[in-house]
Amino acid sequence: MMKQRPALAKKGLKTLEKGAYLFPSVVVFLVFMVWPILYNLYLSVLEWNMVSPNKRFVGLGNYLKIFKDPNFLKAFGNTWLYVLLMMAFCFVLPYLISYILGKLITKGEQLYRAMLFFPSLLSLAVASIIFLWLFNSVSGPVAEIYKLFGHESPKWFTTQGLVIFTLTVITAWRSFGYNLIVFLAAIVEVPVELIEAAKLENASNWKIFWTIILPLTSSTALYVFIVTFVFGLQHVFTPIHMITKGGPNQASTNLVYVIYQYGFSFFQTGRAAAVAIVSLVIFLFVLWLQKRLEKRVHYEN
Amino acid sequence: MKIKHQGEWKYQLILILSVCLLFYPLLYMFSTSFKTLNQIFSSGLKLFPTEFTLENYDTVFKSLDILRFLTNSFIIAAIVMVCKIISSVLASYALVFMNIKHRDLLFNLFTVSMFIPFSVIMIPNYLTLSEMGLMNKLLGVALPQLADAMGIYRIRQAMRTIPKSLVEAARIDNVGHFTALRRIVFPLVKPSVVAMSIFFFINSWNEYFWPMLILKRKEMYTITLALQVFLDTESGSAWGSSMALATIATLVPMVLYIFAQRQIIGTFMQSGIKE
Repeated sequence: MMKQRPALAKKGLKTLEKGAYLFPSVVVFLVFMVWPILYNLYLSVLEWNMVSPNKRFVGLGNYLKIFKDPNFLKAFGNTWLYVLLMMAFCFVLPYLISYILGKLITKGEQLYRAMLFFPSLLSLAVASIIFLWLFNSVSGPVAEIYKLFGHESPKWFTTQGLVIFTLTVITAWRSFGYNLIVFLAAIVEVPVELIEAAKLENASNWKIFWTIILPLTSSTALYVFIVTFVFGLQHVFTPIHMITKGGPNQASTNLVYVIYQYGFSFFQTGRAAAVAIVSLVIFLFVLWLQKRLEKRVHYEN
Repeated sequence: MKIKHQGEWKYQLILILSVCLLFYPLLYMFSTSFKTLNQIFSSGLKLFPTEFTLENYDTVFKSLDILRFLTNSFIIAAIVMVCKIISSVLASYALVFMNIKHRDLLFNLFTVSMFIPFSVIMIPNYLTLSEMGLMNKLLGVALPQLADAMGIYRIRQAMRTIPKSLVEAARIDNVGHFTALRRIVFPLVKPSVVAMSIFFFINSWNEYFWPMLILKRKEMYTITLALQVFLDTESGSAWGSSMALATIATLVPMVLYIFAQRQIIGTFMQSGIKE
């Protein structure tokens, strides 16, 4: 008895100490990450305008409504277009450039990577402002290039179909460098001997990429794929909000912007929450897919 | 080690072209901020002004309380940086050097949360913050930014390169956890901690979404949020001023990056993604 008590106290103290180290992070996550997700689930079954004390339970009503709302359906479709373009600019392109940077040149790697990473440290708001003028269809630099060839510049921000491309370019300009560095970190780890051996057999650089680089960096590629998917959609929110407000005719809206619109412009909190849950389900599905593929990738390696 | 390739110049050319493409918008912003309105419309593709003017900066400083915005941005970024670094270092230490039940589960939950888009949590967080009376408060902008596991992810990664025996040996000699963290672990992961601090500061400085949602009164604006002021004027008259303001907003991240470029890139390169 006498001996047990101090031992117990000591154990309690140890648990307390461990708790203290984790406490700040865990509390912040519970309050601003876990709780909001649950709260969102609850909001999605209510009809509520965010201010009135009256909340009405409508079950799955909001979900049924959004899937009939052309605004949401448009955003849903656009979202995949954004994803597709983001993959070209922020997945394929940095993958190839980092291969050049990591394996195909002998001089200047440090300088190039420092410079290519640089735009990633700028604000998307700054990027939006710059590109708004760059793509000004009357006298921006891009319009000047068109004039050189005797053409008229397209209206980059007000043409349906084109506007998604323009906003993706803005977002991609900002995100390219970060993905490049992540790819580069994996590519420099690929053993030089493998490449040398392939060179002896006269393999082209292109073939080396497909047969050596790609298989050995596939788990990084998966990670960048997910990051591009999830963050691409969030990042593009800033140019949408600053420049087009989803227009013209909802041509540039996406799921993230629709949540914002439902919530803060139309005050339909329930519908906003329902869209948020739909987007969460998509993201979790993609994440799950990544985990499955990752296991297979490791198994193959 | 690198292998020499035939035709390296082709690849050098591609890289130089990429750098030019990525830097053109920046140079354009910078040079336009020193041009008169006349020149902006007449200089075509010429980057550098023939006539150097500060009138855009003059307009910006006269029409907006820039120092106030910069101070607001600084306060928010400093709160976010300090809180995130302290909590991440503590949590990473616990995850690496302490025996914690369900450690892997906890870490996995943290990392999964990195992929939860802000769109899922924005409305509930908005409601929470307004319940807390933090609308139009700088703290209200800082708090939701703290729930980001990037710091835990990267700093844990750095701590895992330290041999566990180093800490265990000290523990046997009756050294407390906090002392072990301060004397043994922290000095070894300092480069990563510095890099992450600067990265957090810059990210928070650049944040547009939370300030836009929380700060409605103009005197509470951050410098990033102030950029939208010049958007409302549809005419081209604000062209020069908006570039001047964009340049001002870029200055702090730019200077920080120039000083810490090696550490920041080093931290992202060091660990890669796996193991």
